[in-house]
Order: sequence, then structure tokens, then C-alpha cells
Amino acid sequence: MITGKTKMADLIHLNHKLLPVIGRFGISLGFGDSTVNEICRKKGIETAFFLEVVNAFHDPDYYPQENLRQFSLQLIVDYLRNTHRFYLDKKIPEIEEMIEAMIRDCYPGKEHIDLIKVFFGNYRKELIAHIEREEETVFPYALMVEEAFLKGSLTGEQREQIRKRSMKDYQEEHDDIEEKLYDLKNIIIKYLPQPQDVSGCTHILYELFYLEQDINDHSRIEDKVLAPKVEQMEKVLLERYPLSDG
Amino acid sequence: MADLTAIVIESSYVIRKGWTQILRSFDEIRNIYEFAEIEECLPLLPKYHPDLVLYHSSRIHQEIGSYLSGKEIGKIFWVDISPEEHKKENVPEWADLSLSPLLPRERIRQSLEQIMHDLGGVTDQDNHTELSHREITVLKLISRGLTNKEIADKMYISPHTVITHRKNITRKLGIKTVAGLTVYAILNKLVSLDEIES
Repeated sequence: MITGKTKMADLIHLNHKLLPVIGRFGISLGFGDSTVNEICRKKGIETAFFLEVVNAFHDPDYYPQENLRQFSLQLIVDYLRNTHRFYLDKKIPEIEEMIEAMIRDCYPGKEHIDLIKVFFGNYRKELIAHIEREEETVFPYALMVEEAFLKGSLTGEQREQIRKRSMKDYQEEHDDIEEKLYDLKNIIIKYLPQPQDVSGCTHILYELFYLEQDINDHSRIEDKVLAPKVEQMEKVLLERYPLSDG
Repeated sequence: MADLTAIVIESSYVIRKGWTQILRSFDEIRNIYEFAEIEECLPLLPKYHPDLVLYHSSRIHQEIGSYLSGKEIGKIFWVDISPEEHKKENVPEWADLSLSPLLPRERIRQSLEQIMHDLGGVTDQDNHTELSHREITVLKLISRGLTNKEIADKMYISPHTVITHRKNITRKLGIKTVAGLTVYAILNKLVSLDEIES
């Protein structure tokens, strides 16, 4: 398990897939022998939160504990937003560039890669829609609930919002973005006629596996940390401020 | 390959890991989610769509029942994994089967194998991945953007049969979405780009 005393360099040796995660916290390389504690303090990062995230990421079976639920929703939402930016500004363009490169280095069968390009383009659109939905409806809703909870008051309008569409309802609306990624991997692995130079496909696959894993870990934080916390507050709010004081 | 999703709900870390480890050894299982408490798991059931849930404790029946009524989550196979049931030899009302962690390895494996089989896991016969003529016809129509109903009308079969064909196609190809199936159809020259764009 990664603790505050772990050296940041050791953390990367332990699992290099944490590189983009620390990037999302605004930590860059060159940390010498500094520990997690030291770097977090220097960067003004809530150490306990950082630790929960990297541990949850590093060990798929790591169970986000009560303490992760202590953090303010704002902190969690900010982190989730940064992750979204990472997908949209970094990962997706990188994969698109790889696909473009394969089309440019065109071997016989360019039209097949064109199909992959179109498919990935559609996936990107859906991912953007998915992210927008979260950022424009789910996150503001979660923050609204937290605000009411901390303030200790609930307006009639807010109660109405909770009743009309609670966190559970938001969670139940899901799309097939995960399935599209799964399909794309299988198409490349099983069905795409392979070019002479297979390195392009290998690279793309590597990135797709990585993206899938990262999105799964991201969803885990939403499902196991954000949602239960909001639901708990909804319940308390509705109990504490029953109808009629609107 | 079958595509089953399993959930293990068990508060003991060691026992939970044990069940997960065993389930992982079955090819039929694609996803396993772990929870310590049922409360954390219930809201996620509609999202995860599990085929199989391992759980123990008897107090939970009502909670599950009242939560699930009215939710569209399909049929779930509930396995009771409380060690006590081993002695009583009876299966609680909410469960389809009891499987104590105290049972010997072979008994556990046999029972799970039976479950996988019942849940439509891989059998030798099912391992064929080649599409039948009918399935190819359905696939072509899916790629052209037709709905289940339209495909049913065109082929003079029931929408239910169309759905069965679709499930088999997805199982055989490992492709789930319409967009993915369309790419497959084009790559294999089952349809041309013009047909899709029209």
C-alpha cells in the first residue's frame, strides 16, 4: 500500500500507470527523493485524498474506505473533471493521431483504417456527450446537495430537485461508451486485415487497453465514492427537512 | 465465449478474495465486482446487470425484494455463501443455491460449473463462431440501420427471434454495438459503404 512516507519515485517504479494520475494532480517528474507527504505539501494537495486515489488506482481491489468519503465533494468533482480533461485533451487526440499516422503511412487497405477512424470519431462524440452530461447535470447536482447539507437548510426548490431526480436516477442512465471501446479492441484484434507493419495496430491497442482501464477506474470513483456520499446526504436532508417548510 | 458478470458481496476480505479468485478461473465470467456490504451494491445492480450474485446472510431477502421490484435488471442467479447453511442444508428463500465456503474444493467447482452451464456459458457445441446464413442476413440488415421490428417484418420472423439472432451474433463475434457490427460487416464485405450511407 502506498503511504505518505512512500517516495514519489518509488510509487512510479511500483506502477508506471500512475504517471498520468499524478499528472492530473499537477505533479511533474524530477522529484528526487521527496516523499508523497513532502510533494503534496509543496503543491498544496490534500495528501489523504491523493493517497486514496493512487491506492484505488494501483490496486483494483482496493476498497475506497470511509476516509475517502470524508473529503469534500468539490475535491472529488475537481479530480473527476481533471480526468475528463485528460481524456479529451490528451488521450483521445493521441489515439486519433495514431490512426491518422496509419492512414498516412498508407499500405494497401487504407479504407479499413478509414473505418476505424470513423468508428473512433463516433466513440469520441459519445464520450464528449457523456462527459458533458456529467459535468453539466450530475456534478452540479451533487454539489448542490452538499451545499444544502453543509448549510443545514433545504429550499423547497432543492427538495423538489432531489425528489424529481436523485443521484440514483442519474446513475441508472448509462450509455454504451464502454461497449464501443470493447468492440473497437475486438475489431482490431480479431477482424482487421493486418498491415505489413503491425506496430501501428499494436500501439493503438495498447492505448485502447490503457484508456479502458483508466475509464473503469474513473467510474469506480464515481460509483463507489461520489454516488454513495451524495445518496447519504440526500437521505439526511429529506429526513431532516420534511415537506411543507418550502 | 460467454460473457457473464458476477458480483461477490462478502464483508470478510479474505473470503471475498477467495471467491473472486475461484470465479476468475472460469472463462465464462468476464466481469467480477466486489462489495463488502449489500447496501453499496444494490444501487449499482441495474448498471452492472449481473448474471450471478454471491451473497450471504438471511436478513436480506426483503431488502433485495423491495429494491428489485420494478427495476429492469433481468434474471439474477443468487447464491447464498454463508457458512452456516452448510450445517442446516437448506437454501434460504431468496437464493437459488447455497454454497458454503467450508465445502471441499471439488464440490465448489462442480456447483459453479453447473451454474455456468445453466446460465448459458460455453458448451462445446456453442464454441462455433461461424455465423449461420440467417445470422448473416440479420447482420446485414442491422448494418443498414434497420430496427428489430423492421428486420422481423422483412424476414417474416418474430421480433423475439431477431433478438435471439442478435444475441448469438454478439456472442460469436465479440462485438456488441451496432456501430461495431457495421464495421465488421464492411470489413467482411457483407455490405458496402453505399448501402449504409443510403
